Amino acid sequence: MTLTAPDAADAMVTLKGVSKSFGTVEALKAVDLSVPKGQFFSLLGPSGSGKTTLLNLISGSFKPTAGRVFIDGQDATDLHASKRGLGMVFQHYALMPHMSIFDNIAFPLKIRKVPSAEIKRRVEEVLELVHLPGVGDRRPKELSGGQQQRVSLARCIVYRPSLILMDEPLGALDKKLRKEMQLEISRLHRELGITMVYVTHDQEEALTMSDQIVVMRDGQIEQIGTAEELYFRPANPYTADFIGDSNLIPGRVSALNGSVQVALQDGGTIAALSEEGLSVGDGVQILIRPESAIVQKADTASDMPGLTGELTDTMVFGAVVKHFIRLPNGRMFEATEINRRGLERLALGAQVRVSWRVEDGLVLRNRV
Amino acid sequence: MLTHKSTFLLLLPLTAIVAVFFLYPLGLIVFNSVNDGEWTLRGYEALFNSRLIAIVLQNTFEIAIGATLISLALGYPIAMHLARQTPKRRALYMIMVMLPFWTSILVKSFALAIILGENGLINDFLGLFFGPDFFIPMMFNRVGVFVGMVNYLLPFMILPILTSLMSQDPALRKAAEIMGAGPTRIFLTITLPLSLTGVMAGVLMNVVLSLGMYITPALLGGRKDVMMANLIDFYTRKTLDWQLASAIAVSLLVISVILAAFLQRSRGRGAAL
Repeated sequence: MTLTAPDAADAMVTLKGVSKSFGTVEALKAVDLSVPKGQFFSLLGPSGSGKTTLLNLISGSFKPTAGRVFIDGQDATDLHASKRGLGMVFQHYALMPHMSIFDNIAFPLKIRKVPSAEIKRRVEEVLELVHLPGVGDRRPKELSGGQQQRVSLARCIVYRPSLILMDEPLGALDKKLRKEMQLEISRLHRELGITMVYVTHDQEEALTMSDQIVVMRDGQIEQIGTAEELYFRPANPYTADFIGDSNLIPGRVSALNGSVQVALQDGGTIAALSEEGLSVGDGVQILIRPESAIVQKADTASDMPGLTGELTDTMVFGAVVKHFIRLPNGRMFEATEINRRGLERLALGAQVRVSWRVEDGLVLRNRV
Repeated sequence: MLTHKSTFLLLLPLTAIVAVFFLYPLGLIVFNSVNDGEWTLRGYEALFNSRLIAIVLQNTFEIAIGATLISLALGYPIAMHLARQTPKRRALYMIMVMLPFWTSILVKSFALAIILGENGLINDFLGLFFGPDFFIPMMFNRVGVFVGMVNYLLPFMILPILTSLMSQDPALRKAAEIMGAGPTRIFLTITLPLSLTGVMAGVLMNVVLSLGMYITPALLGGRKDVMMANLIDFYTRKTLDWQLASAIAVSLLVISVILAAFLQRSRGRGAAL
């Protein structure tokens, strides 16, 4: 059965109602998803959220329990992994330990019956591309983790698949190397224009590299959007909390008059911004990003929305200073300030007021 | 950390047992092979000049290598199958693999005689189709020896191969599959080369064990299937030529050690990959 995905014109991968169960465990629950051609597309979520299962369904390593998988417009649900023509990069590289780097990269070309002269040329070319010329004779074990991951990227790129899947490719590398490889992968993506689907649990990685990010939780998609959208307009408290640092203040909508009035659990009302249709009485959380909050002495006059609390800690991180404020209900509130010379310090233990602009408080409806 | 003293005390009992019941008799055999009251190399002289011993040595190698190859051919697929099972199932199947270990080789050899003999299970069954006089000779010849030996050798082949198969990263096969490799290519270029260390270990154990086989060729083999161990028995008990028996035993030991060292070396090379 060969179906064409209905809206597949510019989608590299389309999933329609795809579910996957392992025994009684539902790893993926009726997911619909479309990955546009040429994008760097990240699947972000904690372990067990279904992101790796989703990747394995695209690669063909798993068969979905229900639903269809379309690749480049064609129904690939029943197509074996070896017939899908994709590339995949693994967390632990999956290089063949008994083969030289050259043979490792030549492996997919030999399968495709490429003449040996051309294999030689293409392997050298691709080693050049990942900045590892001249390592062809070595064994994977003789290279560092970062180099091995470059080889495994080269092994994918060399047969020019139109889609490369990456399963936490930088998970086994240390932080500095990770940064370097992030830039490297982004560069390759830009230069080659290959669609990439990238699984990670590192939100920073997803934010910096991706065109679009899918936030996953418990086998379902929470939100799809650009880094900007997820950061400034998270659809729910879960995404808000997962992407970036956040302060979430629980309350209930008390009035809607231009801005939203939220009655807090501990008394008081705060005005905030909302784009979606809320109604009076809805249980909500107000999201305030730490960098939107200002910390001042408690008696400072201000018409901005805010809260008072006790300043418990101030930490200097070089470029930024983080303040931690204990609110009367015991919750902690975090405020971040850009560090500069002569920045006035408030005494620890003092009562302070944190405030923010009305438009920096975003109302998010609780999940029902 | 163990102190030197406690290490010594912990190792003492085993060391003592090995010294008394293994090293001492072994030393005695080596001594016997060059001394029968006076120092002499008569035993070794007889050994090198005997046509019988030359033929038996050749027999021994033919049988040992043949049995090892059959055991490899049968054992590898079993190990592959076992490696693919869930841990629970594998544990169950492992019991079946280990079953031959639980029976004495003597009992097993007699049991095989009942199955393979002229009036055994198989030939009786074939007789139903081809008449009562029909039978395939499977005992007192090499077929019987091979069946008996392979039955004993298989676990020693399966276990090391299984270990090396299970230590392979499943992501390698998955990666190869996604790159477009079919099952035959994956087996020939990944699974098999990466399991060679296990194969070498299995072959080494099988060959060394076969070289010393005694009961199986004696009970299931024919006149032409005499092995070195049987010859040692013959000189020890029948002709009471203990010196020659000792010389043969020492030679067999030396051959086994050389073989083991050789295989160990190629195995070491394999592991260095």
